[in-house]
Amino acid sequence: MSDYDVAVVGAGPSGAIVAAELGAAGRRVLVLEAGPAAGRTWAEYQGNVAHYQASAAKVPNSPYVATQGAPFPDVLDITRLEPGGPEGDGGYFVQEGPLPFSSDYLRSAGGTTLHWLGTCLRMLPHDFEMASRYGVGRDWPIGYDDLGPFYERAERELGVAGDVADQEYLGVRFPPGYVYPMHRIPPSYGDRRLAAGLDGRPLHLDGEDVAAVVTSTPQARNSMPNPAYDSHRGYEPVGAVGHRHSGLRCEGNASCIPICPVQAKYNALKTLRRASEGPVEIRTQAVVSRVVLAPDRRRVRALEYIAYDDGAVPAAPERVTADVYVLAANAIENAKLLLHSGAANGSDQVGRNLMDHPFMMAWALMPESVGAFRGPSSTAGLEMLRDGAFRGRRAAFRAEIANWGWDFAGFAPYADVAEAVHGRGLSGRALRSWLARRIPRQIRLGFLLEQLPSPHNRVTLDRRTDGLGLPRPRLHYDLDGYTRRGMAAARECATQVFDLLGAADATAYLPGDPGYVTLDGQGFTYHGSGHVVGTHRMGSDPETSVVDDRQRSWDHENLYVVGAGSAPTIATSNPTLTLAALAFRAADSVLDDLGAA
Amino acid sequence: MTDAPLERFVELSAALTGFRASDLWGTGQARAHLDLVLSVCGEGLGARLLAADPDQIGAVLADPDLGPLARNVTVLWYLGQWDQLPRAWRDRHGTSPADVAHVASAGAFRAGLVWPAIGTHAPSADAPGFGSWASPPAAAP
Repeated sequence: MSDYDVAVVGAGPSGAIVAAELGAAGRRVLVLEAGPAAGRTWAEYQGNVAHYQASAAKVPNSPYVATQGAPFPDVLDITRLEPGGPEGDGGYFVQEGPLPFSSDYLRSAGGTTLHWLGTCLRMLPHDFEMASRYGVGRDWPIGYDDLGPFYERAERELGVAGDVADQEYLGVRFPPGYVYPMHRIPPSYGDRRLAAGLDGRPLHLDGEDVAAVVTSTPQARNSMPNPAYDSHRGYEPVGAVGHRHSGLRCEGNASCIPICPVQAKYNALKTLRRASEGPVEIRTQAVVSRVVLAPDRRRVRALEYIAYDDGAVPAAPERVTADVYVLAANAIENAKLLLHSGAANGSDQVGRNLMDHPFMMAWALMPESVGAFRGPSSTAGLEMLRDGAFRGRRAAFRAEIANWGWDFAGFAPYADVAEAVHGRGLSGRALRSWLARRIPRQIRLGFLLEQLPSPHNRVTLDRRTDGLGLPRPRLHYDLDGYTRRGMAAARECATQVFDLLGAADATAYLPGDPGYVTLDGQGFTYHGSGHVVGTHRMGSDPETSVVDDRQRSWDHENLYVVGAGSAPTIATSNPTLTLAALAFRAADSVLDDLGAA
Repeated sequence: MTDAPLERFVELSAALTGFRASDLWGTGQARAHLDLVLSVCGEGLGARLLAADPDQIGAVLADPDLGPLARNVTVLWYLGQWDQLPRAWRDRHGTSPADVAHVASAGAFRAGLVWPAIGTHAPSADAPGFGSWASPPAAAP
């Protein structure tokens, strides 16, 4: 008899959802999490807030301290790579280039949802049909309508605030009477100013006119519950872990990334709390080092893991057995573990098709204050260019409208203060009024560009190892012409938007930027979106995909590999809502498998 | 008994930052900020800085010894962070182990003046409440 019914690797959103669903069905579940339990008590969570406040560089991982046993990538490690130059070896990743993979993630209970923004857009129906419709990328083995019921479960689990009427565009559809659990988060004053200048005005792109629309963003952030939800049963917002009465509404702390101090923004700690109501055991600082296959390789026989305590010599690997195994460790970590184990790779696709949303910003100064640096990081976006006939030749994109001025683009307001004091020599009232006149007028767009799956963008294992002697991920990454043409269109979009708003464009892409790329002599800078996608893609053919449409390995009948790594294409939506929906679908399938066993 | 150096520091800081002395006292950071400055520049230069006339702030900023310190004091109040002093200053006065770029403390960050100066609050602190971001911003002072 196995030690557990199900062993889950990773306590981020996918693993937490699978564990909670199986636990609720009475299944005995073990969750092995490589990272620490950072923030599962309120005192510890507030310690993370203070750590962020005292950090010099307030990057997404700044509140969280890496353990020796589970190091994670940090955006501060990203450097420019030169042709023929040394590979990037400054952090957890080994970056082979030609371009740096510029996203991070977090190895911790709760996973990267600890520092995510919370954007919960659904994918568009056409996103599932890229190959058959546009002749690029891959079709998914499932369509929008297959995922619809699972999107609804994900929207409940994550606690999404949104307005259905705002989201019915480009083919997105909902069942009659469906509403989100909570009313939309109020759009910011800046959103309303931009909408006043943009809505209905034409943008000329790809030889066509497209009417601009500022659209509210559905987001996993506690808002006013919608009494009509769930056939008028309503919805009760879920408060903080360790402090249930905190975070029942977004309070406007304006620090969603890297940490919501009250947990009004969903994080997977909340789902872990739900999981703990069932027969679910969560073991942190337990790094799975190998998936052990049965001799005939048709089944997984055990997981090998190393329990560690920082400062102590790591224990010898232990083994645990289960009837079903679920890898939910993040796309790069899943690929690393499978490659290291020689498992699930009959298709030779494990680790390939690594994607991110290259994140290209454009920023400008409005004629008047938009009240920057208030509210959630983004409450609206430009979504009308997420789909169109242009997708045959260039990447689609969405643009988030930032509420925090030139934050990530220009290190505002820190760089503004430095410029005023050290650069302009301002002091006293003149200093104060210069800052007050300038910073609240800052606006920024963040374009999330689509990237096509490529076998060459991939994760392999480096010979260099981490603190436990496990191989570090080695990344090969590039942006093709399809994405770069999308960047050119996005840049043109930004120019026209700023013109319509009468805003002074201040965008600058510098050749020394780590993510500086060119197209026909024009330069652009991308950053990472933290959307790590595509390394164990699902499909309908075992020859060309790693998992089937339920995220079960084609090679090993009791192994599931779940998360954004299963996505065949990245589309333009932030991936967490979709990976959560897929996790519910996988959990149902695991239950079916267990029932049949 | 009053703490005269601390009061002089706050008066000087008010002139540098454009905020009232009462605003600066209200942050609770005055003592910690002065201690940080003195730990970098030492008692001698510290005494010169505190003896400077807040009504002659231009002269302070133009002074090759006091100017860089005064600009750093300003940034310290606005952002809660210490910037490393310019090389020329360090060449003249020597280096201090405290003179490295860093955030003075979580509290210093939360109390940064840049946030009220632009009509908002420090991220992760002093949240203004649900939906507040939808309102028009307060007029600049």
